[in-house]
Amino acid sequence: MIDLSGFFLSWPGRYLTQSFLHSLVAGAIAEVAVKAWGIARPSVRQRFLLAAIMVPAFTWPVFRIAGRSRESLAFRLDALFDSGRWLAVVLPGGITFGTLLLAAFAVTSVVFAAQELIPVLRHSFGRADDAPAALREGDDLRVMEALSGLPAGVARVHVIEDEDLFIFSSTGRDPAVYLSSGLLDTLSPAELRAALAHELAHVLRGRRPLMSGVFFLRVLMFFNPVILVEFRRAVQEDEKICDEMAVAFTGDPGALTETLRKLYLEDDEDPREKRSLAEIGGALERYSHRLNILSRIARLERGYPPPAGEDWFAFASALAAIGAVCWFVV
Amino acid sequence: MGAKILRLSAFLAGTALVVAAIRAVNWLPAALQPDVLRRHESVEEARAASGVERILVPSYYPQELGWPPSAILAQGRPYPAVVLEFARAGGRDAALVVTQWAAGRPRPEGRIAIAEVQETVRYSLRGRDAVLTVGRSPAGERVSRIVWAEGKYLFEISGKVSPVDLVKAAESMLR
Repeated sequence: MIDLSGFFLSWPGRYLTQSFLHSLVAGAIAEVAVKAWGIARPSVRQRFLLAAIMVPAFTWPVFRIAGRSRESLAFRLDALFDSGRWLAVVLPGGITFGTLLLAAFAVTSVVFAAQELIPVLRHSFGRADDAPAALREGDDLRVMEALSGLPAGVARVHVIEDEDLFIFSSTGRDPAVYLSSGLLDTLSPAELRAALAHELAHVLRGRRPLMSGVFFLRVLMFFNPVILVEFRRAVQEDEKICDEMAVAFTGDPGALTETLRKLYLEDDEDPREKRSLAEIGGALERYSHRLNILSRIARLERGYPPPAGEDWFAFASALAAIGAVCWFVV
Repeated sequence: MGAKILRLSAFLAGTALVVAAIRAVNWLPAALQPDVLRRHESVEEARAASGVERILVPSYYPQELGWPPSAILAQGRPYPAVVLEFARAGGRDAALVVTQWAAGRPRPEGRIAIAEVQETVRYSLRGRDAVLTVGRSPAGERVSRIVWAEGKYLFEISGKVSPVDLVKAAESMLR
């Protein structure tokens, strides 16, 4: 049996364990708060998700400074949850629960590196000649007309010669929006305007220093499977926030819903028709994405609830509850 | 206002459910494995639970401390460790803590910590090499600590007592 008690009692081990447990607590309480307070606006929901991402990064070091006896055996005995009990549990086969936890951290780290870190680094440090070959400036009359009335000077627009339908934006030092010629030929003027408004909203939101801080903390917690899930949920809420902003720019939610349908809902594949595991996995991911798009369309068609005055009180009470409960989770 | 109170109540109820679930999950290892950290009624019970063959107990205490120990904690996993806490007569806070744990393993953290070390000296404790530390707790109280090895175990006595009383207590544990 591999004995990892020394590692889990070291400072890195305690940080890994407690930040993971605190993110579970924070995620659960944030979810309770969103449901109990009836939080519907994406910008407010994202605030709760970001709290569940950011707070666990700091709890252990802050608690350590605030109370050194917090990790004494006596405190652990009376705590709500003592990780030492579970980490020492021996499962059939002689594997401890602590070993399983480390394995989960390792898998999460690999997923994070492959799906988030490496693509971001490639994009950030990509060379100029990595840009698509068939690229032209967005001085097409249709693009110019679509941009009129939208925030000016936010990002350059480029058209990629490709008959597939896609549009995306890049933020950072040289923000830009890229759309395919196929999309340009498919969307109506109003729909093109809505699509560009959505991408410009992404560029505007990417400028906020808070988002850099959030991403830095997300990278710091690269091992944490709860943060992996919560961050992706926060990204999904960001899409809804950008929908909200796009509708505020254009005043035409219907155009955006049609754009989403044309971009993402044309191909209605059934995961059950796939044969191999890789095909099934890919189809399930696309199905999940499809459900997300349908949720966005439903929200656009329903309209957005007016801001509730108690949002900040709800957020403050959730933060207080997270702090209080996490103190007793060791 | 009524709706706000209702929502607040729903939030508090939901949080209470989360807390209840956490407690339930925490209870499971103790139910499945008898040698996890738990409180015991006697030193003998702690010995049986931890697998420690001999638990050393001081026979000398500063006058203000009470017997029996105010708390006896023991664990067999992840490694054998026993903690005896002694409170001042009529009080609840630990004033003296005796910790015994398997050599080569991390020291279990005790309730009494030294935040500011004022002096550290080597001391011969009935022929054993010991380290005596004097300092202040995070709250500014005078704290002393002595650590030594005995066979397969390490021992630590920490107390909000004078170093002289601490050393007397440690010597009373050894022949």
